Amino acid sequence: MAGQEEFARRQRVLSEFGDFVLDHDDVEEVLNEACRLIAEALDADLAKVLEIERGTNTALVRAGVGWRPGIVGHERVSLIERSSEAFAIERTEPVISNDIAHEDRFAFPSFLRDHGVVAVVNVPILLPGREPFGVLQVDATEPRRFDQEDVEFIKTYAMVLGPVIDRLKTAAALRETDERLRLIVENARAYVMVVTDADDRITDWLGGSEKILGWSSSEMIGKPADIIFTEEDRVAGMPTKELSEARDHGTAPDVRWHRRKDGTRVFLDGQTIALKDRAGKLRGYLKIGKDVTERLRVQTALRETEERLRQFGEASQDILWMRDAEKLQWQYLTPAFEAVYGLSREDAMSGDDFRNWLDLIVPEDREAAIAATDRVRGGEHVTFDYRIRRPSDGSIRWLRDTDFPITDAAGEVTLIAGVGHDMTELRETELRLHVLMEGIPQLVWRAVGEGDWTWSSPQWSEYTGLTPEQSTGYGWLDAFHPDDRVAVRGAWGDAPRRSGFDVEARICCAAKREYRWFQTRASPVRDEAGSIVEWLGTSTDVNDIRELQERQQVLVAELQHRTRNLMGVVRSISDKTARASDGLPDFRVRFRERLDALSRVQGLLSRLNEHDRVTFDELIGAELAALDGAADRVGLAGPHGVRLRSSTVQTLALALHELATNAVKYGALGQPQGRLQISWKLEPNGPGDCPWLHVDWREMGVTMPPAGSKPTGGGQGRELIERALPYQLKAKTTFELGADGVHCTISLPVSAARSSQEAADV
Amino acid sequence: MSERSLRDCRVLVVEDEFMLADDLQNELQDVGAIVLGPVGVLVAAIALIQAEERIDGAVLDANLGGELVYPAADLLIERGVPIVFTTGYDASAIPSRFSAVARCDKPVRINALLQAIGRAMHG
Repeated sequence: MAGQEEFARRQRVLSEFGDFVLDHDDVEEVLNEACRLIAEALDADLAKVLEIERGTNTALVRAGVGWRPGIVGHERVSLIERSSEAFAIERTEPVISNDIAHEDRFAFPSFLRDHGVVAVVNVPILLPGREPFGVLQVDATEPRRFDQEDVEFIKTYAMVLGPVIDRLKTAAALRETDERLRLIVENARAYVMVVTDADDRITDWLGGSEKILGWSSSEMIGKPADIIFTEEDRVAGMPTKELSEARDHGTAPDVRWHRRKDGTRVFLDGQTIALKDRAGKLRGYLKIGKDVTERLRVQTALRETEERLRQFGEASQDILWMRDAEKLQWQYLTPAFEAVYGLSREDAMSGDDFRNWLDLIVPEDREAAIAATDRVRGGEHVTFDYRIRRPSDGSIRWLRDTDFPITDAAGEVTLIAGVGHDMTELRETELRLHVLMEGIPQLVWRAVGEGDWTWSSPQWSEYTGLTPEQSTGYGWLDAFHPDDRVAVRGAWGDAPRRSGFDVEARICCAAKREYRWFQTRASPVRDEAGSIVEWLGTSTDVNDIRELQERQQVLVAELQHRTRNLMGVVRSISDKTARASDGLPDFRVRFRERLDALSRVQGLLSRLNEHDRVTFDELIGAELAALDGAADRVGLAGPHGVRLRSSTVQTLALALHELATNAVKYGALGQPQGRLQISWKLEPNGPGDCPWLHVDWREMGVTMPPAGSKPTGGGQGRELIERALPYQLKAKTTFELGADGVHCTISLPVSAARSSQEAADV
Repeated sequence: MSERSLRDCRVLVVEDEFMLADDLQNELQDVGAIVLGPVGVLVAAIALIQAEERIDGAVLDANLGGELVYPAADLLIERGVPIVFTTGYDASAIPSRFSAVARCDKPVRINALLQAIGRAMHG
């Protein structure tokens, strides 16, 4: 039936298909076009391509023309039982069923009948190597006889189709692989990826190479790859060694600093891979490496930090330590441990070192140490004090530990750590201070604010009878004299401004029930900012000093009084001497003698101690000794040691001086035959219940001046005896000019024998 | 002026040192005053004050051989008798109640004392 015209049409179909294939590389598209053209060429309504699905014994309708939606790309036919397709594939021959309704060799899928298919031709499609791809099927909806020419055409067509499919599928697979590689390479921005040829010239500059190293792909293609090595590595021949190792072992580690375009450095962690083809021939190299500069920097910084911390720990005088929280074994212990404990770390960390450590602690403190450790394990920060006994010398050391837990990311305590501080010196200083504060004779106390006592020493309690509890706050004020309390409180009010507290006040001595004067002082203790933290105070007994001062004041006043009186006496003597003198030379002699007498008595008085008294024999002896040798005509008779009242000595001495002077000038001591007898006696119980001294001055053998003449010597001696002594000394005196000389008696009260009375007789 | 003003005035002299008392007595007598005393002990001074109906003025030594003259001074002030202290002490040693009393330091300058006692007696 096929004529010349029919043949030409089929040739044109093949040619059109050939054109189409040249312009298209999508398998679906090409197969659909193939179906359309063959259906057109054979005047069939329907055509399709079935592709064998590996491993399932089914074939998928891959392409087709004339089918309703839901068939192409979805419908499958079984290749197992009575399958015309399987039969064709197996025979590699076309199979024709001109009327499927009456075909008893094969069973046909239902969708063929649904489309009204009556006749079917199956032609196997073979890929190069005769591998079956599937079947090209032409379906007719009207009864039809496919003749040999039709079958040959379809067979030719299917033979063209095989290689076309093969080519398209291979191209598609390649494209996919290429795409995947491209995606990998383009997205590996964190990696330097450099491909080189066998001479190590760069052919591909991939991944993060540009980003990490700075050069662009166009700058680098064709360049030798060792450009990215550092100068020193190039000098050391590292690029060559690396390539050589990669050639020998397939890969070579490439973990080192590399050079960037701007001259800075980047640390790459990667390797160089030798690329060889299947025959083992070297095609080139792949260098791939990750930029770990930052990680390296962090690691280095971390290592440096750790090293610094370690050095801190090594240098610390305090003991730094760490234990695992579970078994409590030391994981870290600084050298200070050895100095404090007197034990090597090696010894301390052998065996169960927690148990060993507890054994070093004195038994009384062990419980506390265990309890503290448990609390730290429970997550607390704990500070506690304990004592250890050094095994080396048995000495005790006081330690203060400040311990804390270290937790992991989940918040579990995994380590406990602490700082141990040796407080022994401090404790000893405190102890010494304590001994000092309680040992000194002062009453010691501490206070805050304006006299709010916080502590008082045992001496305070012992002296005042107030317990420390009674004395705190303002209780101490009760020990002070009621009259002094206002002054004491007032001094506290001024204390902060004056930066000191100082007051003299009376404090009651509980044992003697008497008040004694105390100087109470306090100094502020300041913090670093200069604020007053507390006051340290002492109260010192100044009672004796005050009494001495008071007596001294009395004595000074007395001295002033006496001195001024003496000046008055001197003036008076001078006046009287002047009145009685014959001219200045006479005045000089007389006045000097009287001053000398006054000086002698002052000399006697000034040599005295508090309870000493000038005795009468001393006084008369001193006066006679001043008479320049005339004393050998003087008879003395009387007891030694008659003690004169000090207030009487001066006037008595002046009176005796006048008597003696007159005796030398006009009386017994001035005339060859004259004699002087001085006798005295003590009357122990005289008038006024006190001892009296009776003195008898008798001159004999003196040629007296005629009666009625002017009294010799101005009468000053007589005046002193008759008036001054009675007035001033309560003395009883007589004075008479006898026929052969002066006779004078003086009786005066004197000081009692050594007794308490003397002190009053000033 | 003081001579005239002290004439026939009865002036008590209390002074334990005889020579000073004697000098003072003479000086007062020289200006026409009538001297009561002198006395050198406190009891004698008090006895004299109580015995004398008329005392126009008094010169009192503050320290009488260790005894203080103040009880006598109090008596005189009570009677309205003007007084002058003679003393070797500092002013501070004299009780404050006598702060208005004139004071002559020893050794006494006699003219100054006469003026002081004159002022005390005649305002």
